[in-house]
Amino acid sequence: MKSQLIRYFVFVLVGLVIISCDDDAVAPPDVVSSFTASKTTVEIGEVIQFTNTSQNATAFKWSFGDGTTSKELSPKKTYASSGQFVVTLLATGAGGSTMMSMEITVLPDPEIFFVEAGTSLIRSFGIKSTDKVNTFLDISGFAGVGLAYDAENEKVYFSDFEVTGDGKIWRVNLDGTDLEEIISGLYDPYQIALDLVNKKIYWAEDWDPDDISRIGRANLDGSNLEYVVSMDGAQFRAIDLDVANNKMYFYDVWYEDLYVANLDGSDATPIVSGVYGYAVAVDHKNGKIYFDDQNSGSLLRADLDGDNIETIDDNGTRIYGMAIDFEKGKLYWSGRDSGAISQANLDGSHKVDIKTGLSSPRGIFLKK
Amino acid sequence: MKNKSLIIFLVAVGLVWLQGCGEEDYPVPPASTVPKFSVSIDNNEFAPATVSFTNESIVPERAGNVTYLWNFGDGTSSQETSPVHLYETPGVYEVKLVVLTESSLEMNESTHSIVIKDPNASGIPLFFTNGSTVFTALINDQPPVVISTAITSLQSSYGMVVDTANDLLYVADLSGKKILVSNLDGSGLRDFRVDIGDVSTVAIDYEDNMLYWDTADGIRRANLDDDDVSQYEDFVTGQSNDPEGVAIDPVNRTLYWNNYEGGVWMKNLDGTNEKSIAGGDGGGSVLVIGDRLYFDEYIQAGDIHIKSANLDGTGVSTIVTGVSRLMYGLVYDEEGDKIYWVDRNNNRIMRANPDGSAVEPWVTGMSMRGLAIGKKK
Repeated sequence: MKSQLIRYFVFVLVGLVIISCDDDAVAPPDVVSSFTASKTTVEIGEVIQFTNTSQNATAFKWSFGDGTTSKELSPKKTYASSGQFVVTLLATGAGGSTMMSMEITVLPDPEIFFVEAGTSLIRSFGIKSTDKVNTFLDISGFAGVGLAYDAENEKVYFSDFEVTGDGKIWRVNLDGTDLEEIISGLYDPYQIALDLVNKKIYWAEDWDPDDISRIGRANLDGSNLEYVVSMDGAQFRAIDLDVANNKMYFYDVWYEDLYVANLDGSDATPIVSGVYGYAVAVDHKNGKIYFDDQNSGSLLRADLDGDNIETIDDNGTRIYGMAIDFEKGKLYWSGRDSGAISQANLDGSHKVDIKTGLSSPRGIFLKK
Repeated sequence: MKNKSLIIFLVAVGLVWLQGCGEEDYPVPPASTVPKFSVSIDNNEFAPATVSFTNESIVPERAGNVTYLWNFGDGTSSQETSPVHLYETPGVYEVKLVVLTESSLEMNESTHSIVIKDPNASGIPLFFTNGSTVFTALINDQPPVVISTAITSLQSSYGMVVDTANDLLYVADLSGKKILVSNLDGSGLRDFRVDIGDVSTVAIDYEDNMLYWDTADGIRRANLDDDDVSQYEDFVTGQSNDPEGVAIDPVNRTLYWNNYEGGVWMKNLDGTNEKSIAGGDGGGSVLVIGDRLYFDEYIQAGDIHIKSANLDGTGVSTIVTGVSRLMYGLVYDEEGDKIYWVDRNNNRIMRANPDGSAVEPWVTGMSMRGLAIGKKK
């Protein structure tokens, strides 16, 4: 009886050993790391909301791929620079740890390039990271005010009125290489404009010794130079093109007229009179033209026939450069006297000086 | 006999039961990944500065593939192992290294704060020490950026003074029983006077070109023009309360000092009229601003007051209360019209208007002493 009891006890004990080890082998539920993002392609500074959908986890660590981290359940994140970033969520629970990753694209920051006459440099900055101003090109000795960009071929064009009677137009690759003089022997060329459909460059040229002012054009390599408008006594300062409608708009400061003409120079007609300034920009999508008027110290816009003139800004600065971001509906312009580069909606609302303290900024373009 | 073997078997089974699962219950923690890096800044740490980050992370084999993610604190980042980064703008940057491991599933990070100095920064330099290293920061309209000078190995310093006429810094080293002198960036450090007693604080009389300092029982002075490291003379002797905090009133040609065991004293620089002018239970500093005298006074532990009085010790008023510890360092910035003092046990340098209004922390996170104020640069 006694030994039977012992046998029974042994049986129970051995069973206990087996069961107790089996208990440990019963695994806790698998941890699944998982999350969603409100957007996976964003601009600099745009908020992404991450939503944690992990299972069986109690602790979380996020790495956003730019060296920043979070321990929140579902964090928000903004990126300060462009690039590809891998976001990783490390989820930990009783069942261990797992990771899930997702790639986020932060779009390049559009850049404003501008001629800074006070330093004889062409410089640039990102519109969302304006603290850092880069120097693109030193144009000491061949400086001007006109600046234009061929995005497809990544070529920058600029005018040079350093030597009256031997004004030039230059072009250079966006990476700073292959600086070349494409046109020389001009009287002071001012604003320039590109027709990338017909592969032409246009410029507004100051009067020559015979007091003739001209609108010139040439192929993008400077060949086939021709004058499409010549006007006695005028002083042309600005030009922009509406290639889709075969029109150009140019600006005379002597008689104070803003003109429209066909791209071949025919049918030149004033659309606004009694105004003068140094920059024009055509918004062919919305049928508007922007121009600065130094009589009123204003940046104005009008319909393409000159009607419905509205004031966009009135801080009195001379303006030599304007650029339109058609996708975002934004206008950018430089203030020679204000030292600022400003941004506003196309109707002039929400005006912001995105960069101040510049030394006489002139021609600008927007590189997206 | 049979029972005996059964018992042995039972004991054995019991041992298995006790031990069998032990390994799972008490696992040896596997080695984990430790993010670590060192920093080297060129251009004497002035902007623009190129900073080289050297990755010294410990990555055990079990970690598997590793990704390094750097954030430079200026909005930019890198995935290089040991990146080099250019800082063009002066400032304080928090640099973070995140180490992600593919197999061991770790996400660990390490952070360093780096200071890129502004070569054009202007302001009034304030100097202070943690006892061994001398730091400086500029008083201007920006948050203070504390940087280390080249002086990093004092034995135990409580007092400094800037010779604004010659752009030199005189540093008292209590444990070293000496006074050292250096350029304002801490370079060219050398002994000025050695074996001079328990020196806490120093003050300059520009008219006679003399440096004064306190000892455990008196005041001594030395000629600033004399290169002899053993030259000095006793100016005050036989003080029983442990003099501290010497200060000069250059207009009235008077020396003031506080006493660790209590009492503020004065003596004319011509050696006449040595007297106690105010009581109290002890202090570490005195300061003369025009026709007012400032000094700290122990009220109770954790409640030291800054008091103000006429130059003869009359008309005492309380300016600031609640300072954590006797202060070695009470100075006046004339340009900003602020007094600065150290609040050591609260790890901060404080400032206020001379009337005690607008009290605010100026530098936090550092237990400092030996404030000395320079001239505008």
